Amino acid sequence: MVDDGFAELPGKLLHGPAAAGWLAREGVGDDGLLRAVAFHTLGHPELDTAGVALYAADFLEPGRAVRAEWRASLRKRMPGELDEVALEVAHARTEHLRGIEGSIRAETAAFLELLRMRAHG
Amino acid sequence: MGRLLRGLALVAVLGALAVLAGSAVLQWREPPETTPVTVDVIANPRERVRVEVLNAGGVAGMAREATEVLRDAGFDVVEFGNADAFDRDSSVVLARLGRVDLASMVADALAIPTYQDEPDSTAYVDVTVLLGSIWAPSILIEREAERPRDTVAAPPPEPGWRGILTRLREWADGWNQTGSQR
Repeated sequence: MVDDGFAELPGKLLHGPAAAGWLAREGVGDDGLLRAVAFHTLGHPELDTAGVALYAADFLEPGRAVRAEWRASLRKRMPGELDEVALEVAHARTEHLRGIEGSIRAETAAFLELLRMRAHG
Repeated sequence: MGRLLRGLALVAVLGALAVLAGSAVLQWREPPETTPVTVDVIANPRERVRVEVLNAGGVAGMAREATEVLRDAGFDVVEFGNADAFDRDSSVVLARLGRVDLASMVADALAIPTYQDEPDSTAYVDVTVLLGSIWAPSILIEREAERPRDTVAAPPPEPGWRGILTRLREWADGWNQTGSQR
């Protein structure tokens, strides 16, 4: 059901990999979409445009109460500044995760670094 | 372990739908062309007509369905529920306070051919609807198909999860093409 590498994830992060597994069994064969769903909360350096967009969209979804005004300002910049907004989202998310977990997963760190490289040329 | 996996499967389904359905990605995408369909337009607001709808035929949910029809038509359904008995096949609309004209309007909205004056001094509604077992919204659908209507564009139906994934992929592919031209 879920790759062993995700077994230790907390529930609110586990739904991504679990959902991707379910979609694969339902016949979805688009690797990019499966990866997008699997890593929409964690980030991954191999996320394609759909994946980056879903990663950002999950965070920017209207209705989330925390830092609502800031999220709204980021939404206004989408999709035109997809990579830039995704970088800000990734930065905020990783800082939050570091505060809770003390560290972040390797793919999350690699994703953040990739976005930084894109943003800074 | 099996219970855990089943739990994860449920989380997966709900999570995927919640994330994807709520995704702001779909807000960025240009809306698809809408297919013109016909819907009713209520031309004139009705006076307040208080109605109670009672299921007297025993078909589950029929009072609620009739209530929705009447509310959509502008009537004030103040109560719906079950009648004292489920012994009616045909439906009837009763004028409780002498306004047979109002009973006629309600009957017409529900495609019920029978209405009559049956005063009830204790009633707090203008009209009572007793739904018999053979009343069904399909009656209304058939009637709607027969009459000319104004046309407005209605929104397309919400896509299922496969449709959402397809739209996300289409959007991303389109974005990649646009991006390559920037």
